[in-house]
Amino acid sequence: MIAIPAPRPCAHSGPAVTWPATGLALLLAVLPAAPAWSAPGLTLTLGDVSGHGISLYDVELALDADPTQGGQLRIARAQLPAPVGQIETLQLDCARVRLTTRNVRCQGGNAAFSHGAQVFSASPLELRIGFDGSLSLQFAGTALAGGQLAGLITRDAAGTLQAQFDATRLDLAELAAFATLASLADDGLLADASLAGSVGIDAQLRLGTDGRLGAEGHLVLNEVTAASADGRAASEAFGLDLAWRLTGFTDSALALDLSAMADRGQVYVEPVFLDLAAGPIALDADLLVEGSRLTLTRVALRDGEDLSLQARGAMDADGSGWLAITQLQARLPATFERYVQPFLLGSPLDNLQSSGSLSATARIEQGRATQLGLNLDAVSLRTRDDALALSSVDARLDWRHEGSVPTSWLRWHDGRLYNLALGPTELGFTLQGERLSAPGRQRIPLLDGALVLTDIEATGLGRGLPDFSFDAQLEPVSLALLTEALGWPTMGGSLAGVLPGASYRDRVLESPGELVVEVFGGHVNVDALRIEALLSPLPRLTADIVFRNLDLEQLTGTFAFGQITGRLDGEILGLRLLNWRPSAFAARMATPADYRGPRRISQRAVDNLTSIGGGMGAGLSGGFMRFFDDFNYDRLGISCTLRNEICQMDGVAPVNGGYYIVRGRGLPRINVIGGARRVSWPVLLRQLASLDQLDQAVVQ
Amino acid sequence: MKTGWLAGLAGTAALATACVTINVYFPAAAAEQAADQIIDGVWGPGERGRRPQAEPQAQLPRGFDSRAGMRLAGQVLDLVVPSAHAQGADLDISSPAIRSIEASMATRHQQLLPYYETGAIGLTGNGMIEVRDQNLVPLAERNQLRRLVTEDNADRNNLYREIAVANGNPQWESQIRETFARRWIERARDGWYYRDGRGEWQQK
Repeated sequence: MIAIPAPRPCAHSGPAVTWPATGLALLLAVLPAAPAWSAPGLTLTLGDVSGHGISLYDVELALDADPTQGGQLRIARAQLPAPVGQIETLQLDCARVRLTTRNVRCQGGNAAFSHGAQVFSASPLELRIGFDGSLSLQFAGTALAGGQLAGLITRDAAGTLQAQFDATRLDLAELAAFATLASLADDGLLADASLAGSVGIDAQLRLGTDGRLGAEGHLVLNEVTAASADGRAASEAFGLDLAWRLTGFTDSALALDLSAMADRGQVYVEPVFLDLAAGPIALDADLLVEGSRLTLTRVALRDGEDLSLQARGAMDADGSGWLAITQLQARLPATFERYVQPFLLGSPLDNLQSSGSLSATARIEQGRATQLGLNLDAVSLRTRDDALALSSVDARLDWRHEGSVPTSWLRWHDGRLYNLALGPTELGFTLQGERLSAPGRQRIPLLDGALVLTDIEATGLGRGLPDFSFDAQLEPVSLALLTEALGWPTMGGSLAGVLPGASYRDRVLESPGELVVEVFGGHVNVDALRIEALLSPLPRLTADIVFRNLDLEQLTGTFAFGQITGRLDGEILGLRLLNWRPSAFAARMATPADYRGPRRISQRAVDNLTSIGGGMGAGLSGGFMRFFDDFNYDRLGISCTLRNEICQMDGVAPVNGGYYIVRGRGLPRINVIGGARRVSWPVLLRQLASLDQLDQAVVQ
Repeated sequence: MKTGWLAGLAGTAALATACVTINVYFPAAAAEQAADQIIDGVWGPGERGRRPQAEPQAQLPRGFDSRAGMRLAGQVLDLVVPSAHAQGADLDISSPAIRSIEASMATRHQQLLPYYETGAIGLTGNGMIEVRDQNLVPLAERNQLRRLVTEDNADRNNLYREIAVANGNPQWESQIRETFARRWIERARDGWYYRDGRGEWQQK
């Protein structure tokens, strides 16, 4: 209540007497007893009135000589609670003022005031103020922010307050300019932002004197097109229907139930884009406010058929609190593409294609995740370029921020890595804090062998791409299967190796260890292996390869090159593969100088060695040398240093400005001599490819 | 012998006392030519015609001789089969990796072009591209654009490094990047945006 001392009326014509600041109710209560109603008019100057967080300045009441014919209330300035703030030049005109012993009524009223640069008016308006403390205010058709506002506010004598508001199609841009949103603009939140659209609100409210509150209503947003200045959050023609209900006591606990459906327009909150017209999102939430504590009793979110989420939580005014996602069910790939992939842009997982379903739980305390659980159920994963594919993936992942952690596992039924078949695998590990650790052996069947990873440790799980370290061992894989899978000529033998201290860090896979390929009766050692940007469009591999004691008979037999007997040593140092194609190396291979076993080269091998030169080298089969099937040789070998697509070539010894590729021995003697030192690598590859075709033709 | 020994001693003394400066010559003009050639390939030829690419052509060394009297002279064959052309001071950009990056960027450029023209994206001073104003992009296209920009920048990083590596001078990467950054901006079409030396967006 606003308390006022007794007002003193004064005659309009006489000298104005100003009363001390007082209150409205008592003034009105006093009015009937006031004298001088017969005067041509009456002006009451009330000065400043304040109470209940409301301050009115320069309040003045003017009545016609016949008060039933009208009256006017003028307030120069009023300070109202947020969000309204200060309003100015409030004037209430009443077409008729009815005064009885019980109340005073203003009928056919029109109220006008200005707020900031805006002028508002409400008409028609009816105001009834009872001397028993009751009050009723009804207005219809008030223009507000480009829309309409109608309302009815009543307070009975006992003090129970009831109100109804109905605001339709209020313009959001005008609303934003109004009230405290303007101050948010100063904070930068809405600075330079654009906002258009409309909002409709209806509300019914009942507040008892005992503090019991019951309220409910709706909020409808339509055609909301908004954008933050930096474009990181925006909406287009966004629409939302929200129903709300508030019950409880203002001084103890209030329960708020919300039910919202967003099914119109589009929303982008970087990096998540939601096309709500295509996939509506529904939210149901029950909240409880007790003092400064907010409890989320129940939150249910549903994104069409693709995602459903249930959560609970609590939060205090100081920001402390917790949130538990008790159940999350998601269908792939929709959920992954919509909510996860946008965050993985630029990482090796951003081109992952998935299908299947997953469920998850999570707990967040004081704004930080403390517990996550993820189940994968019959999920298939595949990178877009097919470099890696896993099918029938099941997993149970348990992550804890700290403390003891249950063991997580992940298994797949089959898979493919760069066309190499991966067998059924089950990996076991623990996830805690920033770390993944998998002590012991994890065996991944690969073709007819296996890749065994021991003591996998990963750190930086919170980052985009963790660092991994492990010991790797390759159990023998038969080269026949490997070469077939890679589309190479089929080779016999096996590939095995140990890569201790291997690491995957900053997208670089490397190991100080060595892979040993047992092939062609000798062995090939792969050293200093390093693969950068694996699973990216441009993977880069570097390695040093040394081979010893390869049996040329097996080697040439495999490539149908024509037969050569003897042994071969060599090395490919500084090998660099770009997208699995050689871009640089220094290769050198030759028969060992100290090898004294049989060394013979067939006519066909000689032909091939020469015909690589462009199909002109069928010289041998044309001359009398064609009568010999094979020849003895002393040494053979070739070297090529590849750089800039140019192969710098050499042989086993210099001769006449050229070099021996094959240096013959005995009679009939045949030498193959190279002349060109610089050879185009692409041309060389084309010639080798045509040689392959030539051989196939011969085989047929 | 004695003078050689003295010279060696003097050289050693000089090494011990002098500061040795090693100048690595960066072929700036060749780099600019290479950049223009790739920009032509990615954006399409501008006012300059496209330079024909010199492709080394050569064949395997070949020929054989025999003591039995049949002797095919290697020299004769060498006349028939030319050696690879020397590359001279050019910066070589003909490796398959560089060509495949260029082709990938050229394909992507068709998708990026409308965004250059609206000013949604622009060229940065370090040879990359960047989203300048997301509000010029329809919501549904924003993530696709972010993907295109990320992939294009990955290609750009690979391009600059591969040109340096392919030419045997990995340390040239930053100079090649600078050259490209400058040429991308100089060759940008009217209306496109770029970051100037102070990092401010400017429209051409």
